[in-house]
This record gives sequence, C-alpha cells and structure tokens, in this order.
Amino acid sequence: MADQLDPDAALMLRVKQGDAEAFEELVNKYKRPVLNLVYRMLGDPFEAEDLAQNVFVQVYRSADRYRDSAKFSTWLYTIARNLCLNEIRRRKRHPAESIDASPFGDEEPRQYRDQKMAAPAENVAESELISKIEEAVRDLPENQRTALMLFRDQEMAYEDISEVIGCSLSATKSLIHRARETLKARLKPYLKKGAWPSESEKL
Amino acid sequence: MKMTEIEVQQLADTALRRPLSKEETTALESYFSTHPEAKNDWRESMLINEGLRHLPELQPSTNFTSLVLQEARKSQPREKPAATHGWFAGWRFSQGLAFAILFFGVGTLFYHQHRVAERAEVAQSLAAVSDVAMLLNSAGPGSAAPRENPAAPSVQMLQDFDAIRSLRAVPVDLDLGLLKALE
Repeated sequence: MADQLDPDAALMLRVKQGDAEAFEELVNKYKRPVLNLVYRMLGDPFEAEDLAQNVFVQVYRSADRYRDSAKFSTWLYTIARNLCLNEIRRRKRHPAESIDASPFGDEEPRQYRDQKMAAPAENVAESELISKIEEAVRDLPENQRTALMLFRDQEMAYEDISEVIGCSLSATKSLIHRARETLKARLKPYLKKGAWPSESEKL
Repeated sequence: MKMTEIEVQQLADTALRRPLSKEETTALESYFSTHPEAKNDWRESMLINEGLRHLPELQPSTNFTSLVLQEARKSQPREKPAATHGWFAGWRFSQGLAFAILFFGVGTLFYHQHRVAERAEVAQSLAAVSDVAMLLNSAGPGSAAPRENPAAPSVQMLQDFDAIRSLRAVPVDLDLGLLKALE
C-alpha cells in the first residue's frame, strides 16, 4: 500500500509533520479547482476567493486528522463542500448581512467582468447563453450541482464524488443524470434553437 | 453490443469529459436504430454538455497562496513533538490515576466507618435484648405465672427492638426481691 500511495497523500503526510513546502505545493495544485467548485456553489467570485483560501487553512489546521487511507482530493473537496454548506446556511439565517453576495436563487443573474475571469465570449448571443447556463446551474439543488461540477471540473470518479457528497454510488449517478435533465428542462427554448456551435450536432 | 438506457446516460456523462470512442459511438448508433425516440434526448444532452464546457472559470488571485500560508502560520498543526507529547501524556495519566486512587481510598474509609457505626448500633440493640433475656431467664423456666413486676417488659414488647432500647434499666433491688420470692 505504501508504494502505491497517492502522491498528494504523500505530500499531506509531510504536511502533518509540519512541512510547509509540501503544503504550498498542494495549495498551488488545487487552488484553481477548489476556487471554481466554491464559486459554483456560492455564486459569488469574491466570496469564493475568501472561502477557497479558508478551505486550505482548514486543511492545514486539520492535518493531524488526515488518514492516508483516504484520497487527498476527496478529503479536500469534502472540506470545501462543508464550508460552502455552512456559508449557505449562514446566509439563509442572516440574509441582510451579506450585501455583496447574491442571495441564492436570484432571478437576475449577476453580470460582471473581472480581470481574474477568462476572456468573455465575443459573440453577445453566446455570452447571453452562457449567462443562462450559469444561472441554471446556480439554481440546481445543491447536491445535483455539486455532483455535476465535481464530475465536470475535477474529473473525479463516481465513487469519489459519492464520498464527498455522502451518498451511494447509484445515487451519485442519479444526481448527475437529474442535474442534466433539470438543465435540459430549464434551457429548453435555447436547445430547440440549437444555439450552440454546430460541432455539438455531430450525432 | 446492446445498450441499456442507463448505459446511454453514462455515455452522456463520459461525453462531458472526452469525445466518445469509435466503439462507443457505434454502440450508441445501434441503440438509436432500435430507440429512435432517444436520439433527440441525446442531442439535447450533448448541447447541455457543450454549454457546461463553455462555463467561464475563475483564476485565483496572484497572492492566493501567500495569503493562505500567512493565515496557516498563525495556527500551528496539532501534532506535537513526540518526546514532549509522550512525557506530557504520561504525566496526565499519573495524575488521573492518583486522583482515582484518592477518591477510592476516601470512599472506602467512609464505607468502613459507616459499617463500624452500624455494628455498634447492632451491638447496643443486642445488649438491650440480652439484658431483658437475662431477666426472663432469672424468673425460672416454665413459670406459668405472669410476672407482676411492672418494670419488666411483656413478651410482645420483645418483638419491637426500638421499644426494647427505650426501656429503662430494671433496678437491682427488684432483681433481689424477685430472687427472694422464688426461693
């Protein structure tokens, strides 16, 4: 088992011994995927940055609890998801406190241009479509959204996703399928128009 | 290869991550030949996948890592150096054990004292009963006449130990008078 140790798990075991370089390496490797997962869960890029940093701080503080029997990425995304859920619950209890955050389930999607973001689509219609997709993803039930984003962004196996979400393998597959069906229903008018580039119509 | 609906759904998931292989595409086309109604559903799934692939991604700020390290340095990991940890743990264990022994000892002492007091009480009760028994014995065995000495207790009273204990001691001259009468 030791010679087949996940490289990230090996780094994390070094972090347990107080190796700051190992921790920095893990942060650099996972900061972007964690940031984007948190962003998809919270819907606000600025809050996502703060909370994503907090995820890694939490990882550092909880280093002694890490067991190499678990995949590091699974453990990391579990922490990220839990912190996001705490934030979502906090927002529900105190909606007035967060003036910057968009309350979850806003009808009006937030429009922003941020230098940190990838370059916006040149085609205005395409940009509007992307905005619609983002809005639809944001409005998915949390577990469907998390499962879909972990599958898309992190390329995690179904088994690992089920560990993060805390449900069975079949339930995880069902969540991803239902997420896609929910998006289809929500974006039906755009799908009928076939508004996406023609390469998607190969089949 | 005959595909099931669930397998088609999983292929739609797979297509989100990578293009389908030749074998997968062939299997899919074979499925659509027997389930033409599924083709439109597949088309819509692929459009959704395409849209998901176009979702913009955030880039972390340039000082993301340094901010994390700065914050992490404020909190030390819980793991302590082995030697100090072992010594400290041993001391804490000894302390706990000493308290446990102390409480056990005090408890045992209190219990012992309680037992001693209890035995003393029983002894007193027995002494009171034996005094009265001696009185009865001195009246003579098989004596049919009830004793007329009002100070002597009745047999019924002997059943009540509390009553026995509250009896006053019988005067000695009464004992002597009784002995003379029996001679």
